[in-house]
Amino acid sequence: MRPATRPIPTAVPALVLLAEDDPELRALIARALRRDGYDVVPVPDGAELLRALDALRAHGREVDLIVSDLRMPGMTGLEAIRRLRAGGARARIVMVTAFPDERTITEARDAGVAHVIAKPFDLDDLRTVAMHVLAA
Amino acid sequence: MRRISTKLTLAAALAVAMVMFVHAALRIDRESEALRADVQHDHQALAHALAETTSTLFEQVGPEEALRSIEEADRRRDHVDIRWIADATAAASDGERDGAFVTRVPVVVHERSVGVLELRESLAPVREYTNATGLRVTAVAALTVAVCAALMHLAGWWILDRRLGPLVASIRRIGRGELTEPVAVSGVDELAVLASELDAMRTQLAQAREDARSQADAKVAALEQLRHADRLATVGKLAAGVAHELGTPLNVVSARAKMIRTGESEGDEVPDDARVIGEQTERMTRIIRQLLDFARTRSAERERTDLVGLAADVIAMLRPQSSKAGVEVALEGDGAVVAPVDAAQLQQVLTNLVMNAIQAQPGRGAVRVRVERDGEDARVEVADAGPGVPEASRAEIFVPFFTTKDVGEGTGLGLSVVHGIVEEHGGSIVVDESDLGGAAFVLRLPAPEGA
Repeated sequence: MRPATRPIPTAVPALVLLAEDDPELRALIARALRRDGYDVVPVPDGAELLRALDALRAHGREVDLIVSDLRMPGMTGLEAIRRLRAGGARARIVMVTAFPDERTITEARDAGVAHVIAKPFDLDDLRTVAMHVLAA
Repeated sequence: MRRISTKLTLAAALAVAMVMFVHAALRIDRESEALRADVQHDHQALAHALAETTSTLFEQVGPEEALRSIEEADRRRDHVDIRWIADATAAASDGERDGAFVTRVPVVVHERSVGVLELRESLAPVREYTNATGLRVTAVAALTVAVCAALMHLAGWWILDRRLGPLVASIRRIGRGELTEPVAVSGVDELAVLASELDAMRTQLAQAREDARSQADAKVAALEQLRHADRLATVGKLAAGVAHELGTPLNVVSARAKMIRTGESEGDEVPDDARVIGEQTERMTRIIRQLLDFARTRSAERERTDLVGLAADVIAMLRPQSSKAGVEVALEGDGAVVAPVDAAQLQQVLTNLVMNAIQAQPGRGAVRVRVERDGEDARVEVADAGPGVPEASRAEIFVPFFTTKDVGEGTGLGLSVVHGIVEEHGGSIVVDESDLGGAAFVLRLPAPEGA
């Protein structure tokens, strides 16, 4: 189902950093979020996530939302998030994971994750969550 | 002398010969003695009779007539020499001299000796008779011995040889392993007892062989069951990973299908969606098939297999597990290392070893799989950075049901199955310390060039 409401267009589109290792899924999520009017920067893993953050900051752009898979090759999503929090990033974070057990959810919350979504998910649910998190 | 019957025949013949010849010798001796006595008696009787006659003639007719009658007597008898010794002083005597009986009887006229009558009889006839008798008796003895020997030989054949041949043949058959034909038993003597005991032994051997065969079959069946159980246990462990892996392509398929349905995809985005749906579906099929292939049993088929490729497949299949555990799995191996192995069984082996390595380091860790050629062997090493295997346990870990894991975590089957498969391939597996800090399982498989 489509989101009940479409995101409110803002003067400057929100910047979303998307970290997902599966290329098809990454392309799919990026396309959907762009349809909603966001600027999407897709990266394949945690290390690239941090690099992209720094690069964007160097260009004076602050990231509004990070959507990240929990398990990716190399540095895991959680690790990356801890590091970027340590680096002072204040973006809101939505975590996507296949194993949403209590421990994972607690760890994520402690690391400052706003929302945890379980895989497989409905794309429209992700878009709704993104909208709400950004609006909050 | 190879035959018992020949020995018996010869012994009997010898015994008979001895008896016959002793008997013959005694008989000859006795008969010739009797003959000689007879001849001697006749000889002396004749001598005395002649002496009387001569004496009477001397007295009544006169010396010339007497002497003439002596000559007549001598002429008339071929075998006796009769002569007159005109010596009144010669004495009477009788005895043997020069192979002849010689008897001298004085002729008495008016109580006075007028001379001596001498009779000389050759003993040659006696000797000849003795020889002839000897020959005859010997011939009979020899014939008897021959007949005896022949009879013994026949008896030997009938009683012994006839039955020994088949018996020896039976024993040879049993020795060759042919246990189906019964041993022929005829008669009730010791040989028959031997034959029937041999037959009893044969049936026992046949039974023992049957038992061994069914035991071996049962063992093979049990081994196969064990391997299957291990496979299923592994499948259980892999299933979680597979479910996770299916999640992403499923996500893509459902999202794209929804976009088609709601009309969000427009124009030629739709064929693109369809294409992606197809690709992701194939991906899911592959993932599921991989798991099903792993679970099913099949008879072992040895084929030239690239072990590096096999290791890569196993590592890829275990990626969900390794990334969840935060363990890096690296493959070291260049080119292809080919060995004649059953790919499914080796896959089971490597999956067990790599999974163990992953599970040994729950937080973070490293696993290195190294595949290389080492002379005539292929060498596969699975090393980890975990706690390792204590030296005391290194021999025992391949024993079934030996496990240090908690109840419910490991079955303790895996390494014994690994060991069994490796041994069946003619290889070896040992555990050692690894340079990564943990355990290193080193397995060697024969990989002859061009095999």
